[in-house]
Amino acid sequence: MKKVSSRRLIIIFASLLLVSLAWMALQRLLPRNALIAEVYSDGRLVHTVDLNKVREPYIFELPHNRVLVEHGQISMHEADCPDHLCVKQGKISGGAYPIVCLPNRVMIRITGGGGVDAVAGR
Amino acid sequence: MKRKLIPALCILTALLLLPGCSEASKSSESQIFAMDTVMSLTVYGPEANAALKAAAAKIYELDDRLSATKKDSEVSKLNASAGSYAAVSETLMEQLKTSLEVSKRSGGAYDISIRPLVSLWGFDTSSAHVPPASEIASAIKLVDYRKIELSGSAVRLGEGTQITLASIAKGYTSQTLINLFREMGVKSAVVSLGGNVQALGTKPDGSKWRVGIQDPKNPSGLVGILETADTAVVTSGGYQRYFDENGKRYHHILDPKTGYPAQSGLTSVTIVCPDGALADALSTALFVLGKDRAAEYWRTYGGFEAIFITDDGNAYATEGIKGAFSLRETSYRLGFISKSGAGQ
Amino acid sequence: MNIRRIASDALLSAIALTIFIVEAQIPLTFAVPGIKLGLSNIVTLITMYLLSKKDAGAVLLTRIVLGSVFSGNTVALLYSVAGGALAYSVMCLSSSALSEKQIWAVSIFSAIAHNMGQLMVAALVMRSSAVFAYTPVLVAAAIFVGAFTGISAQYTFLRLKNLRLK
Repeated sequence: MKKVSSRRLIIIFASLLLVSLAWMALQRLLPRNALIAEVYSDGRLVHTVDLNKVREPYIFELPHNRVLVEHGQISMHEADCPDHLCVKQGKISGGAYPIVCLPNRVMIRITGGGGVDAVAGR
Repeated sequence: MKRKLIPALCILTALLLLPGCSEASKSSESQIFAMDTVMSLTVYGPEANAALKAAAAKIYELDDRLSATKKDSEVSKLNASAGSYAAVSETLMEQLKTSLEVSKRSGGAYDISIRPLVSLWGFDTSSAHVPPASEIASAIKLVDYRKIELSGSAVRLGEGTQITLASIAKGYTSQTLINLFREMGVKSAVVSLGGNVQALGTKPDGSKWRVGIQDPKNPSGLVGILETADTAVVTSGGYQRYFDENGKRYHHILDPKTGYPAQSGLTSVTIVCPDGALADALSTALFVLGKDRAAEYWRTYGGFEAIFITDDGNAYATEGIKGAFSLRETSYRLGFISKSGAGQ
Repeated sequence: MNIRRIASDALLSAIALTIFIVEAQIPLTFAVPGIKLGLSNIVTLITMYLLSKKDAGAVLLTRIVLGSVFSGNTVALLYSVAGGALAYSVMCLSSSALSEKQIWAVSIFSAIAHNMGQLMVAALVMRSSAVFAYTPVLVAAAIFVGAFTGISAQYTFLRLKNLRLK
């Protein structure tokens, strides 16, 4: 009971394959799903990392601060500032809100900040 | 069927690849540490780099001129001249005028002569503490905006009157930057000066800027998103700066009348207004006024919209903002404040 | 259910299990964590054509259950069940529509279904639809793997179809 010809089947699969390959090509061209974290020291960008690609956590060292970089999240691990507000802020994995160590002028933030261009607050 | 399939596939693939061709305008950014906070500037267009350079210079300049803690600043010099007339710059005069207008309209809930009180509490240092009630009582006597007299381009502060522009300087600076960008031909920019946001124009593709309003309960979360263009968005809240002593929390927005942190039932106030300096001053003023009196202020004077977050976990927005503001954090319930005074 | 049939099912299950365990040693976690190639579907396919759909289902179930017991991986069970269930359903449907010379096609269809099932479980486990970004990769992979297993099954079937397994 040959209701569907083999030729037709080959065409269907070949088309599916083509569409998949095209889709994949498009994904490579458009940078998506990257969680880019940036560390600024004194206004200068000193470290960029895609948190989604981090396999093993590591510490990024600065003269007065240590930044803990993990898969999907980043935080201020240690700091020698008096109030340690930056350390208390904990881990961020998004949101437009940066971790800031004011006395040492260090800022950690995640770009593509959750669909907003700026956040009003402090 | 085979003949039609291949062209169809080509079209399909082309259609899939088309979105990849969207064009994004180039932006330049810079981070600046000044005025005791971190500032983020984002400018679009060919003049971006020049604009950012000019902006940085302007920020440092204003910081030097307006800081009440820097001894050589214009503010400090004015404070030192209390009792007699002193000539002041246009920059200072504009802020004084705006401040006094808000002071009058808010019945003194906003008062830049609050410096003695701020110093007493130590909020302008890193060691804040609760002062004795007697000292608060004497400091309050020195707080009176009516003792600030403007005459032409000169100002006379009363004896013992000391001012601080901390509650208006950032807004004034953001406005100055926006004006500067406009002069330089920039059409699209957004700045965030320690949380004081101001935008110039729309985004390069014509869409409005999306400004998030910080959630007081969760500092890395948002209460909602505001879509806006050519405005300033400034939030004031006790949750931003405070200290704990003996189990009680004391925040940095002092009520000029009581001498203690304002307890008005509000956790935060967000002002949306085309004038950066006014937005900054209003955010502090309305926070002290509390929701009901703030709503009255809005009804009487207008010129801005506001979003209030109350201590009991509700959010209220003035009705002019309907459509531009969307709640994101669903644990808040949003109510609207109407012009007519009905419904809260 | 005669003894011959039971023995055949058992034998096929054992083969499927072996392939499954060997395949599990191939680390595929660079793509989506927990995803599998699905080579043991060769057996499911052959069983369906040599015996019946019911037997294929039984063999599949046995392989899934024992497979997770032997590998000691509970999360993998979830993936196996989802992938297997969808693959099986699609296998049943498409084998009715196609001839026994088109086992390779049935295989591709069920391989795609198998991968989509695994993707859906991944999305649920990670509570995020972000994994669906892998859809085209998995569809393309399924077409290749499905073709391979399908052709293998096709040839095996044609050689074995005269065996008296039931």
